[in-house]
Amino acid sequence: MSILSLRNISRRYRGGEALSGIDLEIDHPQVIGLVGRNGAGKSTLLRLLPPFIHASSGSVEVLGVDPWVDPIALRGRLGYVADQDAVPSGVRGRDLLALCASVYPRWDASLIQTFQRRLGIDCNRLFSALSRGQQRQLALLMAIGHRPELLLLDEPAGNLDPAVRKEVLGIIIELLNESGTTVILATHLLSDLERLAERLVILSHGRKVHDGSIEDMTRDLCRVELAPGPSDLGRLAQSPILLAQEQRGTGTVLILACAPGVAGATVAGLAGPGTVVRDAQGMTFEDAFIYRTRDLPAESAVAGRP
Amino acid sequence: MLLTINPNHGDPIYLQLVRQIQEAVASGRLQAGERVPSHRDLAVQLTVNSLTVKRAFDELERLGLLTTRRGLGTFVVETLPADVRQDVRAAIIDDLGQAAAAARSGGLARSEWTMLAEHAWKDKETP
Repeated sequence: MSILSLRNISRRYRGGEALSGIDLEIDHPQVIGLVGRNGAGKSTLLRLLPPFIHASSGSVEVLGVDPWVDPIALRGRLGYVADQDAVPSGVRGRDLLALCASVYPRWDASLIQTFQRRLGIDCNRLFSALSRGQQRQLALLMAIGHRPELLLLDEPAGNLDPAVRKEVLGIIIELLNESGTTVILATHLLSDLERLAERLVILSHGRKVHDGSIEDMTRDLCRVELAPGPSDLGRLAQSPILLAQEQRGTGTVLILACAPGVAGATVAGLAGPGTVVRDAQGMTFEDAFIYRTRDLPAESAVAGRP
Repeated sequence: MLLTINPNHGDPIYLQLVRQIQEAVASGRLQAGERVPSHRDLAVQLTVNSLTVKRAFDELERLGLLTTRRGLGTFVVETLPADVRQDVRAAIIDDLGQAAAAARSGGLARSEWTMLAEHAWKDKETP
């Protein structure tokens, strides 16, 4: 069964186009990172699925059905964490969980209680009195207690400190361990994505600009540091292997399209004498990401870890 | 088993795990026949997708370092592969292939290539 099928989706607002010509197919359970700056269209894309909004054109199929045919039934199979919690004042954590338990026939109260105890969330307190981290954790628990087939997370760990973020990610990983849940994780935190996602979809100005595996990002890219001093790149300067060159203090840093293991030989073979490689390393996911998206419009550049 | 993930490392996470476990086996920190945690438990411990850990385990099984016994778990093999040279050789051939491709696409002459290989060899000569 197709988990998600978006065909040529556009979503127009009065002010312009939030999504434009998006195709996205998910045919087996996986974790997909949805990346892009604020305003790139991540939240709009997620909101099409439960469904909260209509597409202006194109077709949407979620878990094999048109989401607008029976939205309530579909929501019983989905989990959704919005980027902001909208909880009325005066509501306690336990009220929220009781509400979920009453709405979802498949609600697993013992699973949620286990997580709640382990995370130390006091559900007798008002939701508004919980720390921001605990609010996000509770929002996540509310989205997974019915063991959804498709979990949509919109910045689930945004603005959280690294320790709490790790707790939130831990919940997602345990859920994935137990069941073949598909997760679409919209975030700008690349270090989280590398740990979780198998596939990366990048949006820029409402368009899909990349769709591939996490490793496509770092494959055959390396960063080479030359020994300080004047360096003559010789034939390397014209070679297609040289992707970029920057000055760092007294040394030169090159970005080359080759594996780190052969960078030394490549530079030695092509550059002029006296050009010595001091260090050659594969690029980190984050650097590779920034490098590969550098030609995209400025809006799509993505912030690194907080 | 002490494993760490370094996000500032150029290698993908699964490869970092493969290397660390290889090292643990080579140094004897992981003993022959010792049971290793399940890939799911390790995933939780390291906060990474369990498929990533699974991939590392699969690779280590392929290399003949780990073995899975149905229903019992994953273990370090009792007898480490005697034919480790074969793996080393395969890795070298792979590296050389990449280097040759880089050299060709970079317009390196064949004589330069041979010379560089010779240099690299001498470079690593132990006195």
